[in-house]
Amino acid sequence: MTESNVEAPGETRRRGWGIPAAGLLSSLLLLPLAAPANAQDAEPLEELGQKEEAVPLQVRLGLRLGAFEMINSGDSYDAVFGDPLPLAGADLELRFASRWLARISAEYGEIDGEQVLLTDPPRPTGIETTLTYAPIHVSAGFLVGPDTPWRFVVGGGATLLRWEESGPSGSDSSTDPGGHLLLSLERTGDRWGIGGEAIYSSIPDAAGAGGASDFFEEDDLGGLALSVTLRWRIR
Amino acid sequence: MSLMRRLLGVSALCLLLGSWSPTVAQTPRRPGIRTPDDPTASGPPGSRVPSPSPPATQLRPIPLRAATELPPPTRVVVRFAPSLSPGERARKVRRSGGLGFLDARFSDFSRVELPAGADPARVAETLAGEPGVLWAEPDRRCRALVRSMAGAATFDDPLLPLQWHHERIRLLDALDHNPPRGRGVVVAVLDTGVAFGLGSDFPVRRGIDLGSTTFLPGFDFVDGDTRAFDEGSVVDPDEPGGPRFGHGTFVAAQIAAVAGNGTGGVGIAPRVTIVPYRVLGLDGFGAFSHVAEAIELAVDSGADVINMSLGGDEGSTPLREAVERAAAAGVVLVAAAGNEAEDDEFAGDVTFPARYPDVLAVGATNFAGDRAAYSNHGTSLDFVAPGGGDNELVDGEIRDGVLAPSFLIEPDGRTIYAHFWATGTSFAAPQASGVAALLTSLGVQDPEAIRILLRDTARDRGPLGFDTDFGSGEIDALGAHRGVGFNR
Repeated sequence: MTESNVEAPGETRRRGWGIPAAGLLSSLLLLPLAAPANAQDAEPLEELGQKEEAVPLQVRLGLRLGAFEMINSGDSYDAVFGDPLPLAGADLELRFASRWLARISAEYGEIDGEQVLLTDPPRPTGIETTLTYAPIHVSAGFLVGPDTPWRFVVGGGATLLRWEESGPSGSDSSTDPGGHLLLSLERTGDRWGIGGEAIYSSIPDAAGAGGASDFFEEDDLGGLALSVTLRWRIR
Repeated sequence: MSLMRRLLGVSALCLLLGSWSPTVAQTPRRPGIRTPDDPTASGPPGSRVPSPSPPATQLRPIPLRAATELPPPTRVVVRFAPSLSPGERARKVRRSGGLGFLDARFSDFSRVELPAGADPARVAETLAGEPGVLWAEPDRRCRALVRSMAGAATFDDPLLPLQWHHERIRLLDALDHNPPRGRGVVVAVLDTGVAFGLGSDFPVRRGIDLGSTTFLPGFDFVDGDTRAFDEGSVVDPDEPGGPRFGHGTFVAAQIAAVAGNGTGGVGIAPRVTIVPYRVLGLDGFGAFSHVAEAIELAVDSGADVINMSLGGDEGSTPLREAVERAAAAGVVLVAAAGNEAEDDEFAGDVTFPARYPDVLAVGATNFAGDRAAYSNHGTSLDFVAPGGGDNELVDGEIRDGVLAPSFLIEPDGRTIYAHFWATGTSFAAPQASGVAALLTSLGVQDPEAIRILLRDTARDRGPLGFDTDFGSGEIDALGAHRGVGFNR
């Protein structure tokens, strides 16, 4: 047992959650797999014998599972679909020797809703309509804070959204560009990492040509996606 | 055969069949025809049996000269600044060449009477230049947008199978999804009036199939009284004393004809309340200032939908302002696109008031589903509905026209109440108004919501997507009842 095991919990918490924003983000994301803030969490990798290799480039593959709330077209989305859109995807991350990283992620989600009469509130008709939502994010990120097992990344980048709405009378699909901001918090091990991520995206001028989005005059298919991520270092 | 003899033929036939009283539902129900309010009839919703055998007598359609050039304005309309006293207003009117002015009853503009031979455009221009005058312009004219009509020889039979336009817009299936069927919704019909009285003689008797329809009193802007009864408009503008057709009654019956009463056909929204406003005179023409006032009054009277089967070549300031106020008040405005597409002077777009953005502009398709040759088209067209083509026989006894009840009054005063085939964008617009009323009775209140529902569920015709011949397509009552999705 090292000395750190007997430190007062309060001290440990201060070290382990060294960046207030990280704690805030973690609370926001409600990370189901995040370890409790105990003494062990706070140990530098070096003390745990898990020091990361000082390679010029780390390559990691990740899986992600989460939900998307289309807050930028919230009225239209809620009228037709209601529930958040489940998203699943994968990503590839390159971490450079500096604190910069680059990441490309692809996600896919699908949700069923009902066509509505445009009453107040909108009235479902029982006619099914399905939305598929597949964004690709290309991001640049920066590691903030000390080099601990907890990695806090802020970043942003470009988004390309492929989406389709289909129903009994046909379908519409489109590919539209946009941008995003991201915050992620990850607990890393030797080769693995588990964490949570929030991506706020904006895809302007993508909708609004018809249906509920025209009625509510909403055209941005962006919103907030919250995901749990699992990554492995392959290099 | 002369026009008069053909009309007499209609008369003779109607008298022969002898069942044009709206209160006598003599026609036996045809097995297998399910009317929307008839729970006992057999067959699935919207099912049809073959059309009844063609009657022995068929009448050729009577072409109407709807594209006749509009008569010139005879008055000027003006809006004075509120600060201007009546004396100052009168002086400005006289200085500009007018005789005097009268304030509109239901709006905030005034009408300037002119001496014989005065040029309304010049008076308006002079008056507009006076301090304290907000605008002044000739009181522009409009016309009923009927194209042709013909007597229906089977008027005492259940006529639903002949109303092919209902099948085209999938009306009966839509009514199955619409229990209120328009109940509680008020549709204003701005036209030649409506035969909605309870008397026994023309013009105060009630039209066929409107027996149990609810009416509100309305207003007669032509005669300036509260008796907005349909006195018809002349079939041939060159024959002012000739027979007159109940254009407004036809339009009202298209919207509100009673369903399930064993007689006639079916209205689009058979339980709506109709409020008639007479804005078109015996000659079929009217003044936009009257249309504007009727819109204002309709809004004040609680109308949910305003149908205008009329149009003029030029816009009008009081009309535009009335339209904008009505739209802002949440009223759905529907107007016929116009029947001038075949004319040399066709302006390449729909007529007014259909051209105003707040008005749903409805063009006409024929039996084959093509744009009717006469139907105005252009970028302001919202969608189309069946309005009939050449009114010739196309399938058994079915004509390429729209079938509904109305009346024809002959020069000697004899009035024939019967069903007629008629064509024109005048009769496409009521179908959109009727579907709008149905949606309103389900709780869709916002005019923009109605527009989106009708537009996004219209069945595309012509080139993919919006085009100037069909707008967004042909309205689909069932589709509109299925609602819209997120972006389509």
